[in-house]
Amino acid sequence: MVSNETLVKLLSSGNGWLGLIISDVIGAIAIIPGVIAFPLAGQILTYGAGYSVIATFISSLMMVGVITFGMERDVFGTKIATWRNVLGFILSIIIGFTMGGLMGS
Amino acid sequence: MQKKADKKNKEKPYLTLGRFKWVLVVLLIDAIVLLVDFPRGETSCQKAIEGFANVFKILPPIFILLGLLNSWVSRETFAKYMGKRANAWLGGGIAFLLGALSAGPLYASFPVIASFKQKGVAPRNLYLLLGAWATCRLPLLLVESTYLGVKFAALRVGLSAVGVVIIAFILERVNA
Repeated sequence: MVSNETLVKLLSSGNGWLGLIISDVIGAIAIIPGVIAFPLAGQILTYGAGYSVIATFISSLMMVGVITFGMERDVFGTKIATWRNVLGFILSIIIGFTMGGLMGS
Repeated sequence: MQKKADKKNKEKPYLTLGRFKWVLVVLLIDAIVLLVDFPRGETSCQKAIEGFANVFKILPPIFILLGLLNSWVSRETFAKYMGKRANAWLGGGIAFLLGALSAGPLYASFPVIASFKQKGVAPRNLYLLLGAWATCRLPLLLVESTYLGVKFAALRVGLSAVGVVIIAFILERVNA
């Protein structure tokens, strides 16, 4: 069981490449409703994580769904579903970088 | 038409045991954890039940709304505004707006997408709908602003919108 504390610790691990990739991967796997994700992200922010990490985490949380891939494949087919998730994963990092620059962290 | 129906009948039944393989895997893992470490297993089972309950809370309303949409809005209307021959800006705009107005999780959009697909909505508009549904949740903008700031929320939604459009175009190329 991954507790919120573990999640917070993992996501606060740094604002470099590694931190972004970790948050991207966690966001891709986790399923957290939006109303819970935003307070959680706010909490991570107070623990010292940068805006880039938080933006990456939220973006991949919303856009990439590893767990729901089976459902997505039924709708779009394997090819499109794979492409969409991979592109979402990349976009999450790009958004993280850009947000970090724009928010100044 | 008859041939098509025959082909459909030959397809595998929808509800096979294989469909529930992940449910079975979860049950199995939970059973093992329960035997090894009871308190941890208890928490895990609770979370699993919570997860299932969440899905069952969200999906029925979606199906009811889809049913209403199916009976109120004809296939022709969908094709006219969001189909392949429809105005790209209008169709894309409607798709994006519909997606952005949702507040549900990503998986709640899949039945909607499947239904829209049957109605003859162009693939590009399906990708836009899904992307907007996932990232630009306008009803949650207030929550996001409260916890992360208005500037963050506005910038993130804006950037995501650009990204969603780019991804929709790439997916259209991949699909072609």
